[in-house]
Amino acid sequence: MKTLTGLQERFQQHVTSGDKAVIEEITGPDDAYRQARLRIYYSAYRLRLTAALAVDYPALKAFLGDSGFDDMAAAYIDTCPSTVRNLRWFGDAMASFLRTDTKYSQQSVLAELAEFEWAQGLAFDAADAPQTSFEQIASVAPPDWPELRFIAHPSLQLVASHWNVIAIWHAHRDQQEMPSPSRREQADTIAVWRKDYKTYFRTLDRDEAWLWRTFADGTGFGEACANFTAMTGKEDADAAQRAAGLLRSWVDEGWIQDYLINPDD
Amino acid sequence: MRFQNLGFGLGLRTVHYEDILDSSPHVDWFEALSENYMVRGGKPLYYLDRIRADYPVVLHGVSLSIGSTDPLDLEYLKALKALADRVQPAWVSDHLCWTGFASKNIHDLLPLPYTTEAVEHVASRIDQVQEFLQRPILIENVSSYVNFDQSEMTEWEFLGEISQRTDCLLLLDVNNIYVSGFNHGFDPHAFIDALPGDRIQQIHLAGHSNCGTHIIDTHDAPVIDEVWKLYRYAIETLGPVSTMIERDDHIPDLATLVTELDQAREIATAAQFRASA
Repeated sequence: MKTLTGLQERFQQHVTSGDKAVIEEITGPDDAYRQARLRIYYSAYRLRLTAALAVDYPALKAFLGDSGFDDMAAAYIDTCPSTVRNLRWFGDAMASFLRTDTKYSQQSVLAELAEFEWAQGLAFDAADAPQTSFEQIASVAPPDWPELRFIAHPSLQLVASHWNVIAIWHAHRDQQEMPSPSRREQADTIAVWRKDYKTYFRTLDRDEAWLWRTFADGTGFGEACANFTAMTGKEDADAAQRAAGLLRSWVDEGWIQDYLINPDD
Repeated sequence: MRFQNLGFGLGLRTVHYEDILDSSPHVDWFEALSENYMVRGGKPLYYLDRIRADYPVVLHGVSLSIGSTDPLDLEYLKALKALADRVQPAWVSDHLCWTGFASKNIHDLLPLPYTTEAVEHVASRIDQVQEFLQRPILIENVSSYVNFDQSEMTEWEFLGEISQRTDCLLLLDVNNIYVSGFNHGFDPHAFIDALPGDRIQQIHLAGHSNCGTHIIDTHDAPVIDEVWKLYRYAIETLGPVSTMIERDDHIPDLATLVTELDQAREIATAAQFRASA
């Protein structure tokens, strides 16, 4: 094992960093031949991983341009080498890389765009689960409503975004000219989810984002609605109508997998 | 002991899902890339289940890393077993290679030295994998661009020895034999002649990129004439073997691949006729 272990270590060092130690172990007439053959593995490593990132982050690629994306991918590959078996997950650290890298953190739109695109991937192949119907929720007896809690569908992702990432994404999809990045002081909340095997997203109204997060934190329906009324400053009836309307849209969109009547269930 | 001959298949690719379900193409079976379906849910598993309801499916992995000196990845094996339990594939295959070292993954099919040490290492790991999965696996020869000075035997001796020690089956990639033969200057017929024919369960066919001084296994073009000839020789030598075409890039429409697969059917039929004449 000692010989094989050493060879694999040196070979991998060459593929990832161009280290030359393995060259003398390659069969061939001269060093130029050996290096040319090793170069195939060296190049393929970067090409394959860059291609995988382009699949996960097509709008980011369109935003940066081919050359800019390739440079960014090269930096990501060197900084965050893959430790996963499945290429599907190689790009998992992209948003955090873009937030912390000295060069790319200067453009915070990049990390937010990456986070938005990664959320679409997460929604795409998240676990399958039923989506509850409004009729099921409406059948809950009135005395049980105050303690009613909701379980989010596993595909639902929430992304906070200060930048116009949806406009950038649409420009990529429609092959239109990229809009200039523009930043809002307060972050929007974007929901990304899957229904009937199709991925959707939309920006939430601020009161909607507040109410959804309250439910997602495990707050019961009664307390959430009371706090919602106070937060919005609306009349009780208006706030209740708004909350009911939001609940209806979430159910229709398939955000809710199930509900609990008793918090101890 | 080989599994049943499935006939002529294609690699299952995302762009063909709807066409397969709508047109019920003349394809006997599909090979699904295991890692593409090691996900929690959504479209990939939905389509795999639907296609599996109509066709035999085999699972083909790229990340087992059977030749790595890292420990076997138990989480990967569990995910593979769970997928196999769900799909009930006719068989499960991966490559005779390593994909990474020290917990890194290069996501490439990296070459092994053909040494007794590597035979013993790989054989012991195949035993463990077969024990874990409770089924024999198929091991595929890869295309390679380098050989190592420390090699003590030919690639076909290496493959044959591992197969004999573990009772694993072989996935013979005829294009890879051609590519490696070109790259290393060996006669691909000698490779086919030397292998234990009763262990060859499946054949892969694919296109490649000829760079003049070497060939790269790109799976992005039709099978070339020389590889078709080598395939004919393989069938004449080995008899009927489940055969499929792999295309991973520049993927044409399904009908084009079905037509290419028909070429494999014709060649295999003619080869068997010649062999029995």
